[in-house]
Amino acid sequence: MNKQKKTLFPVLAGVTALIALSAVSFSGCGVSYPAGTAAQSVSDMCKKEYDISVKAKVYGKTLWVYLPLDQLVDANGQIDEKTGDTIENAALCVHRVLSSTDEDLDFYVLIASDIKTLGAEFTLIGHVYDIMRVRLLDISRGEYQRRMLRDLKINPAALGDAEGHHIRLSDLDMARFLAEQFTRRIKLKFENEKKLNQKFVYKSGKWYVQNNTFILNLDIAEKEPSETLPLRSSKHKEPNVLDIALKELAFILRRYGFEDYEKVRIANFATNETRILTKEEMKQIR
Amino acid sequence: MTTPKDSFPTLGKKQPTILKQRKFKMWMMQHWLKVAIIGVIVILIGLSIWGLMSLESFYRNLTIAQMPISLLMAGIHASIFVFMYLTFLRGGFAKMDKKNIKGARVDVRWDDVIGIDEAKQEAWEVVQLIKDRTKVLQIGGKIIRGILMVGPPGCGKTFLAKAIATEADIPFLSMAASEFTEVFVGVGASRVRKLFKKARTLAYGYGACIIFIDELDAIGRARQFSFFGGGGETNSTQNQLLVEMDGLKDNDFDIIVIGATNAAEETLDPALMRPGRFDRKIYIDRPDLVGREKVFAYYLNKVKHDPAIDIGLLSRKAVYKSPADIENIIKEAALIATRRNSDTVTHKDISEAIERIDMGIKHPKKMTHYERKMVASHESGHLIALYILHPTDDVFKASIISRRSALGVVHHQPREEYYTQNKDVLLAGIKVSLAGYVAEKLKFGVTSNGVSSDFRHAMAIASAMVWNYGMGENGFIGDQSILLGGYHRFDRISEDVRQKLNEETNRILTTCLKEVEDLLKREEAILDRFINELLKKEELEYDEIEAIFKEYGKAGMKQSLRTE
Repeated sequence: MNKQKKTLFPVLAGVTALIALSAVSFSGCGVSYPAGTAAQSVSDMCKKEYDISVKAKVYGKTLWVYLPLDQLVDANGQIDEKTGDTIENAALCVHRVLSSTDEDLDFYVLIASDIKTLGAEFTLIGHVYDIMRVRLLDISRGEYQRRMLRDLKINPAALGDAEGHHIRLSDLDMARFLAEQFTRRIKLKFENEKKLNQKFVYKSGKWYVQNNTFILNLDIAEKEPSETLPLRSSKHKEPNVLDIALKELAFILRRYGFEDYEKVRIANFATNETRILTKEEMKQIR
Repeated sequence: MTTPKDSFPTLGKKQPTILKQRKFKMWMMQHWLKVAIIGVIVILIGLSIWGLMSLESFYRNLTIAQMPISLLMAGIHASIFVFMYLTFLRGGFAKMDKKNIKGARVDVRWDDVIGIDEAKQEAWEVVQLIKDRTKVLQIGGKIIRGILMVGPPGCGKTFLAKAIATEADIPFLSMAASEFTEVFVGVGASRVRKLFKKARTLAYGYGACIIFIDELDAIGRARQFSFFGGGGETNSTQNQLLVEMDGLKDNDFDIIVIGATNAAEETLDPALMRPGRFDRKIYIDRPDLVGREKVFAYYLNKVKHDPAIDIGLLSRKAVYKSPADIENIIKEAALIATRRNSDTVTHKDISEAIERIDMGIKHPKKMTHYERKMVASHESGHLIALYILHPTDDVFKASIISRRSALGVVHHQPREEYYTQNKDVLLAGIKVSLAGYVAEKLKFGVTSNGVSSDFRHAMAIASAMVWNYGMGENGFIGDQSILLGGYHRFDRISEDVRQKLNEETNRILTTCLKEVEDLLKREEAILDRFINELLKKEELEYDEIEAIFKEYGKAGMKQSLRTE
């Protein structure tokens, strides 16, 4: 009897511990925003937690969120602090919902439009997986900022459109997203990095994706000698725009693990230089 | 003897509800920490679930994903903490092993206690007193607080204590007194306090409780008070025991302390023995012939055995054996039977087991024929003298196979327990010892150094007879050794008296020697027969010995000598 009890006690303790652990684990089962509710959840959360009215809709694998505002930019063309907070709060709601949903979404687009005064429109495009990674500290906030696509423009069609009818919904794809991200990163790089900024001038960057080929047309010219610092010795190797651009592109493709392409055709109109690389060649670039 | 009833004795039958409440309270007192811990764990788990449910699934999954490593780390930290705590704060892992066994679970039935009927009778009274405390109080009786069981080791003291607990259906806490003692002063006392605290809790719930302290002499010896502080730990442990036993009077439930010792009662501290402490003594001696028969029957029933085994003969062979010795004999016999691929224990197995235990394992030596014959003569001399001259002992075996340091042996046992030896028995002992020497001299004309221990034994008996027992025939009565000098004592015995006593000692030896010489010359045919049999077979069993004596018409002679 005593022996039986001795044997029974650890078994009971084990079963109890198992039940307790299962209870805790099962409490984690199920997502906060099940598939099919993501768009509505964003609208509800914005309204409930920040008193912001947004229109949200899922198109393909992209979540579109429209945020109509009375005013977006001030007289200086800058987004004021209050409006900035509103956009940030709306973006936060989008991030929270996308982090905790099992809906099959790849991208989100947040469009904040001034529907009363100028028709200014701010667009924010992001990749869902990037949200997870920045939250898990897998990428830095700086890198995250570089991965998001931002755009501010005047769109008269936005005036008076509180429902977002003027927005043409589409399903974003990865290749286009990466190509756009690439051109923006190159622009930032050549404009912000002192070493490059002293030597080159960024004029434009265009991209196309055709027949599984990235077509990247840059126009980055070398500054006149008088504009630049004194030349170093002839032994010093001058940076090549296409080398820098390809390195950046290889980095982006590698970080996203994107392989759904065959070639890259990159050109710099300023120097009439063009290069065509296969996927394998791109993989070699470090 | 009445059958014990299932009831909680000390509170009577009218208060089962109170006892139930007490049991619950006792359970809570014993397990409050566990209950509290389980409660806290349940609350924490509830809070965790509630907290997790309030999180968005991203953070919830994140938390759950980290849980295994968190649990592992918590487990490691807890283990380190427990190890440090036990090692540095609680005197290590060698903590008091408290046996918390409910009386019924000790499971030693009254009928299992065998061979100690007198002690059982006394213990039964104790059981009755425990079972009907109210009745005792009504007639103004005194509740027993302490029982001291005194007796040789292996006679069933612990067994009897457990049987008391089982019969009284009360919890039984058992500890060896040596478990109290530690190198640090105060640890023993603290363990005594803990033991009694535990007992009080159990007694509160069950109405009564037995504390059994084995080998009580380890803490119960007469206390020593020294300026140098020696024995401080034992003293403080014993003091605490005395205090706790005094404190038992204040309670309305029974705690009975049973102490067991195989040390002499006088060695225990008088304070332990005074009324109110260990005032009831139960003497547990080795079982007598009937007792041994019962014990043999009991343990034989636990193994497959030959039904032809003569338990009476075994009991005669096992004089002075305790129940534990008998149990050991049967276990050893079972091993011997197993070794010879038999599933039944036979008389021979048991005989071999007894010999193995008493005489040691055989170590055959390569001896010359001359040496073997010398040993055979020596042992045959012992054998004949024992059989014919010894009034109390039976011969069970003769052997010329060496065991331990002896080249041969004659195994003999008293037929029954004798607590005194008269002059005849002592003289017989001398004659038996000298018989080996006489036989060697008779058959070879010379003697060997194998007689050394025999002579020592014979001389010791003869000397004691003259010097100590007043059995000499030269008129000296009294214990003459008292007059001998020693530490802080002058020699008060004259050389003349000393010489006379020694002469008398020698006279006894020479008289015995003459008698043995006459005997062996007279029975030389039997001596030669035994020598030859031993040389041929190396060992002779009881039946074979008996048959040879019968053949020579000596069986009746042995009997008549015994009954004198």
